[in-house]
Amino acid sequence: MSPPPKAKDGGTERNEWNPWRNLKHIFFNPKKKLRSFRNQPLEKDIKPTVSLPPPDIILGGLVRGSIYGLVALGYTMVYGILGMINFAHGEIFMIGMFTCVFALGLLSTLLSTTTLVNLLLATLVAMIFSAAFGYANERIAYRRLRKAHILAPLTSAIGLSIILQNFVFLTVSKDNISFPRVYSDQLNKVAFTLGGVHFNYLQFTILGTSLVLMAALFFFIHRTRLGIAMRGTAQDQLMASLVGIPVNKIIALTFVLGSSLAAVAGVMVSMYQSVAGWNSGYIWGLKAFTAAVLGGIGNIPGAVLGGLIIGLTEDITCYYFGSNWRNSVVFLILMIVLIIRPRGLLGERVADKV
Amino acid sequence: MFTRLRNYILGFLGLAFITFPFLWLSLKYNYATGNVATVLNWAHGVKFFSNLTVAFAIVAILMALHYSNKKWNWSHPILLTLRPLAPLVEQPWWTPFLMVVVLSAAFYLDHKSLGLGCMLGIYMILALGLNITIGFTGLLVLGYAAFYAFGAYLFALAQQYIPGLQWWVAFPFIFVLGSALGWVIGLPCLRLRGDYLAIVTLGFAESFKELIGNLNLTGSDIGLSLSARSMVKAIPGLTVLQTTYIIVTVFLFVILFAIRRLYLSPIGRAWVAIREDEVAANSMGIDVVRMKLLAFAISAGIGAVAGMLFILYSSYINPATAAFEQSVIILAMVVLGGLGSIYGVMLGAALLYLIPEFLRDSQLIQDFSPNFSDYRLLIFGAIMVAMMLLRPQGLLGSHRHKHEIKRDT
Amino acid sequence: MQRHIIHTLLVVFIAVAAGLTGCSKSSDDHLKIGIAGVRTGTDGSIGGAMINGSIIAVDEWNAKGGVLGKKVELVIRDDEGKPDKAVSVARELVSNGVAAVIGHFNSGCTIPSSPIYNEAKILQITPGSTNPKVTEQGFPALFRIIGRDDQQGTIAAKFMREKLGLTKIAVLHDKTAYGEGFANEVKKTFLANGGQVVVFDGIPRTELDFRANIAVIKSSGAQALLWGGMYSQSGPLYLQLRQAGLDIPFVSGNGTIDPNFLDAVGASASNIYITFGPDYENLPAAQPFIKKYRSLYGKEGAYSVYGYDAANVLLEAIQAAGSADAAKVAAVLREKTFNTVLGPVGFDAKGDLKQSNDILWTVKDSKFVPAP
Repeated sequence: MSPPPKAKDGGTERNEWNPWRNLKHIFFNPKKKLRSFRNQPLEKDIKPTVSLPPPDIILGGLVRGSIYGLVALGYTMVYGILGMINFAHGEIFMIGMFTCVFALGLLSTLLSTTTLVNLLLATLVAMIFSAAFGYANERIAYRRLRKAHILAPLTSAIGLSIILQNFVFLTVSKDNISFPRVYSDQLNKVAFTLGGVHFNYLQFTILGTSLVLMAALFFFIHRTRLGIAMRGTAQDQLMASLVGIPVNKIIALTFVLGSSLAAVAGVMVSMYQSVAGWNSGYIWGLKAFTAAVLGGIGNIPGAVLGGLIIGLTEDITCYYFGSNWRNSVVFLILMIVLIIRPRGLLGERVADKV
Repeated sequence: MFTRLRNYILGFLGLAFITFPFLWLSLKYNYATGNVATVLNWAHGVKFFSNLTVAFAIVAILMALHYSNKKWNWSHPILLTLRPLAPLVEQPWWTPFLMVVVLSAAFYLDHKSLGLGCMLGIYMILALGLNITIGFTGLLVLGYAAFYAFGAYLFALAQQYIPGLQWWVAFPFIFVLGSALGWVIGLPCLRLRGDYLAIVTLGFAESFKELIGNLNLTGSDIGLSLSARSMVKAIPGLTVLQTTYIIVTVFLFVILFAIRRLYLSPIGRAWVAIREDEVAANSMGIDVVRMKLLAFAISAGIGAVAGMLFILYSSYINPATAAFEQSVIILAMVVLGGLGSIYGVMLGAALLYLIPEFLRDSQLIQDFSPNFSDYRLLIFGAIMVAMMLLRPQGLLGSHRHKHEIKRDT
Repeated sequence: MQRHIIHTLLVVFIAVAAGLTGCSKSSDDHLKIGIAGVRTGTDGSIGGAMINGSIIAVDEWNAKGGVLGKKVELVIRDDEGKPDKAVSVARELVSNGVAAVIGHFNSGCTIPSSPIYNEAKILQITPGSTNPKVTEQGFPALFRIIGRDDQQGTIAAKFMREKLGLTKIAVLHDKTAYGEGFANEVKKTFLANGGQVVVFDGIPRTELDFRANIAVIKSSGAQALLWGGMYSQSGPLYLQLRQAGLDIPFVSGNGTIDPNFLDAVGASASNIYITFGPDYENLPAAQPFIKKYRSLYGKEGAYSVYGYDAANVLLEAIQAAGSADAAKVAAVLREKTFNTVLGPVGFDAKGDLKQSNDILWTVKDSKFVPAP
């Protein structure tokens, strides 16, 4: 029975193996940090350790976020009613982009004017086209699968999205096509300058339009008869059909509404980033879908909130850590939120079906 | 149902035979002048048809395996002592021959077909692994490619620090570490309902992809490239690719066998019970949490092993391996083949991997139109939608799935 | 009964398959040349233009009677710009029995596929991959007919540091082998010459909204922006930079050279500098090629002429070597100097161009013109 080994002299206990101290040494060693700073002396110039992000970062994030929210509405409505993820929704958004660019070209030659009225008309055309596409998708790929296993419509949606992407890629353009500058330049004027930072009319237009459309949708769903029918269908399709709600038509209406909102978002995005590409639907769609889940899928204010949070997070991450990390942070936040609060930020508690 | 399937196959075959004579006549496209001329080209026709035949053979073999559920009568007292051998002998009589044929393909297939065979084997393993969570247990996982990439990166990194590390040394570690990762990811996810689980795994995969794309250790977005010669010790007399093919095939057989046994074991029955009705399964005494975690872990481990095999084959890895598209393709293989059906998901993997490759490589199709291969993804998407509309339960639906309660509307 | 039918079918299939795989090998008196490039995906149009250039060259040789008395047959494969597909394309070409390969286009595809060609002893000549690592692998039969990123990067960095006299620059790249490699070279050279790189960041390929990155650049006080990436992102990046009120020089590499970039930036574009090969459009030697290309496919892409040159150099070397054997052709390629559309070309021991012919370009009146 030998006594437990002691430190050779009382003062050097620090040199003993101590996991916590070692961890601290690895992670919080101030010397190490200084050394890494010395290797890259310029890091300090770019990002001061504590500073608020400049206003253009915040505004940019809000604009992105509002577009995410607008696209997310389509995902969230379809999920609310059918319980399925409409993976082709991003492609509908992309169709909206391209239709608008074509309609603008047609309108400016037909009317030989380049006023903003043309832009409104083109947006309308894009909405109609996208709505038609959304309706056709529902008719072709989803309606027959409504009663099948949940993954069947998911797979057919993935197939559809591959078809739509490649259709545009092969028939329209393999490259990004430019949004007509005549129109975007009219909105891309500096509204005011704050501390050397330019604010565009376009950014405020996008923010305003999205918020108005979201509010309108909220009003539509909660205050009109059709909206009530929609909510009824979402709650229980069988009961809804028993009280005389035309369930099929209501579902089609959901797709049409979501698609036309996505088209508006597509028009605004193509104006904002000045080009439209056949693969833009995928990346915006994925983020918008994330937004819908973050806010609580099936919940309309949730989609808006999720969109804004994701947009802001992306741009603020980009400011502090660089754009390398922006997708990581977004998905990390999504994971954490879902693990802590599985129904999303504003989602209602849904009882598991037995 | 079966007669209808048979009609499909016979109709398809008939179509192939009727159109066959025309396929000998291929069109010659002159790039410079833009003229099109008809040429009699036997070689391309033969090649086209032999490709088609291989595809049909794969379909037929997997269907035959699926529909033959031979059960022996073990009640005789002498036979009863041999009961433990049941899994080995309760197979169609031609299974051993099939295994020999598939393995010996390494000797008579050409370079390209061996490459296709390797990738096909890897995709089949992936589909089988994902089938455990989605098909058996009913847990919707959308980020399966992350486990695949995890295994691949693990092996690639180990190669850099331990040069000449052989696959048989690395394989158990990769399986265990992959399973551990699956366990860790599964742990917080068990509170989530089906679709949310899908999203969390999707988020995990995306974060993982971004992480390996940003770290210098993993070669950032450019990826890691290794030397195939140092990783695979070629069997004497065979090339590295032939050896790789044999390794992949053996892994496929072992995993297939293990999963079949698991599926029929109490664990597999517990998984199916959880899928059908979680509450009822719980009240029958099944440890739901443990079973779900087990499904997660085994599935992730198999994915990681598939990643290691991918490195052996391609000796190159980049973050695109963990991309969402990759997960979606694997998922589509499982759904298309038939959720929960072992040979079904292998069939799905065969179709979804071979169709685009076939459309890309067929010289005959290129003769018809040099730009035809650009349309292959369009055709691929159309096939996916059409198959889903025709058979929403998958090509070879699981027997047990027949009794599944339909989702109420 | 059902099982019976299945089994019969199975036996028939296996028999037919076994019978046919044996006789599917075709032997013909053509010389097979593989072209691997990207036709679909984000780089589809620029890569397709490269392939078209090679096709024209091969057709010209065939019209003259072919190489070594044989007609040249092209085996064209699409790698989608994805590394994993490139590996399977490489294996397919090898088993197809090609004598040499022109391609791949993206550096990220050339790097993983080159060991396969090397193992099969097939000569590879790439018209588009500029990442230094491509030839640093030390394969004996791998050549490239375009300048390296470090050569390009040095030109761009020295231009900014010495000609424009800048001290602080921002560097953005698209996280591909090409873009990041180019950006790293510029950063290295610029730092070595006493400058500062205040922003260094990567952006995913699919991203088209750069407002946040531009805000960071603005707050960092960079005097120029270097973009390492492809034209699909260059246009929006340039426009958004100007919309944010930053009139700093926009410097980029050869990935930006594409008519699509001109479309996107419009007529008022200014202060753009791009490193690229010589101005072929005004070279008299290139006129027949340009005329032919436009009559067949419309406006040529920036890499069409490289595809054309690569095919011509390859076939000329095969002709001179007297056989399609990779070692012999490689020896000829290293010895001889070839007259191409872009001027005389020779290769060093690594397989790079003996001297890079890259110069700086700028954009004026919706046209690429050599910088003054």
